[in-house]
Amino acid sequence: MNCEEARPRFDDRIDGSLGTEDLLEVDEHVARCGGCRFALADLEAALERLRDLPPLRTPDSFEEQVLARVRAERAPALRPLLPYAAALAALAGTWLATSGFFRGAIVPIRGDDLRVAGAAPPAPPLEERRRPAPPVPPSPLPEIGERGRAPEIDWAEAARQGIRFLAAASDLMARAARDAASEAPPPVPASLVREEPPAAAPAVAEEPARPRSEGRGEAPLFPAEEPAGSGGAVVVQRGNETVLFSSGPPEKEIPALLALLRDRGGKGADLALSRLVLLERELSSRGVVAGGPALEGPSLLGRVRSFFSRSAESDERSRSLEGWERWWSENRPAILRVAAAEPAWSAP
Amino acid sequence: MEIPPSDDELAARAGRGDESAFAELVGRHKDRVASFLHGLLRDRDAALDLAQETFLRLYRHLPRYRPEGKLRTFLFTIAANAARDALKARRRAGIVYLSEYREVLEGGGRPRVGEPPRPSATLEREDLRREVRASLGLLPAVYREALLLRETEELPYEEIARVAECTVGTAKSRVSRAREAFRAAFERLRRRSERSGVGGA
Repeated sequence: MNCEEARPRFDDRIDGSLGTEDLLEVDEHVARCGGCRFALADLEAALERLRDLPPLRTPDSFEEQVLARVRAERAPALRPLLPYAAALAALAGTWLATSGFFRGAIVPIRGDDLRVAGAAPPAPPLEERRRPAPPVPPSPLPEIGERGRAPEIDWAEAARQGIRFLAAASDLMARAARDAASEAPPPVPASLVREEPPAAAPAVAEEPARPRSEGRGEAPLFPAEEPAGSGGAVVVQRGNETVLFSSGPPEKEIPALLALLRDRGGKGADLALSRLVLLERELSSRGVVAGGPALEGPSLLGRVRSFFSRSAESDERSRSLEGWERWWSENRPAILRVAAAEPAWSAP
Repeated sequence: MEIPPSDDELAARAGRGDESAFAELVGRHKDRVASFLHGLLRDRDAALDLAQETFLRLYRHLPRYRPEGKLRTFLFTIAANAARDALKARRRAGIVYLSEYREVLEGGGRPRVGEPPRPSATLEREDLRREVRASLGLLPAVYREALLLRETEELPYEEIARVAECTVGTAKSRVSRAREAFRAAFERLRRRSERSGVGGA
């Protein structure tokens, strides 16, 4: 047997599926031929390492979690399904109504043009310097339930609230987009543009019609000299390009990015997540976040990702207000700790 | 001594609504399914999440499961499909998870700043594992799947073909190519880290 005959049989040799005669022939060749001997030994050694990988240990609660999902699926639907858009609006409405602290905003706009997440107050701070504040949804937010009682959610009212909010915000953003397309943006301090994923540069550059401030390569759509204490995150989508701009101190930037994460299935969520991962990494490399090296173990971002990566069609929990509220209340201290540790944090 | 019930018996009981039987099935297979998904996705959290999803889908499919002693293959088929969907969705969205590529980018090995010193044997073992995972990450997804099914899950080629929905011949050739590609990637990374080890000394 020569090398050309022997090598194709290495797989069978490894699988232990060679007949006695073939096995003897292959082994005899390998014993004589240094090249084949090394090749087979290297292959076997590499595969041995692969087989030695320790298994991923699932948590003890795994079975219980699976069973909970099974039970949730078996349970009859508690309320008739709202049409998708109304449900989304309802979610936005109830979320605004019930989360006192978290006032980031995520606004899917007709035509899927823009998504924005701004820190409180709901009117996006990134834009208000250049034009008067837009009409705020007229009716007040619904009262949160009585003290000590879980709030009752009136889904129809929440949907109405949400739709009004979305409409107002949509109008605001449409005007902002028109505005940005028609006039040259004022120069932006480079430090305000923290994260520019690979798609960023072409996305900004792809508007040849828009006059640009000279001498600045990167000019985001929502520029401004940031007043102290403001900040947020914006995802701009034009055609195939999606760009994330985020700025401000962490206590503003992080909630805004988290708000963008609610854009499940949208690219904005992925970009926001990438930014959060980088942010956590940067902060933790400065020792701001306790709990081990960045990205390892049950890091904050690991938990964010795990929360949001569940597939939408199968897991109602991850879309539910309760799930979100629970997650937020659990993680809020950690996020605030990050924010408080270095309020004047700025990009190097 | 009592003989533990077979997977098929548990599946039949679970299909009739016996929760404890289903929990036992999950307990039996959860680590292997999660490990398989971890190898495919290179993301621990996503793997655990998708492992749950896999068992949920198993539960939905129980009424259609034919008890022929191949529940494990059935599970891996579901898991592989779920992983393919997840990878496709990531690609479509153009997502790159930095954590996945950390091992590749850093070539495995070097301890990060701020980590406490570890015993050198532990360090070496961890480095090796990181390199193995990084090498695996360099393979195309179909090869990764075939290689994991063969080497770590020890499925016969006929079962691999069922999971991958291809012919046995294709399964064999995928495993063969995957082995060779894995060896080459692993050796490259090993050489690189040995070089940088010498350089750093």
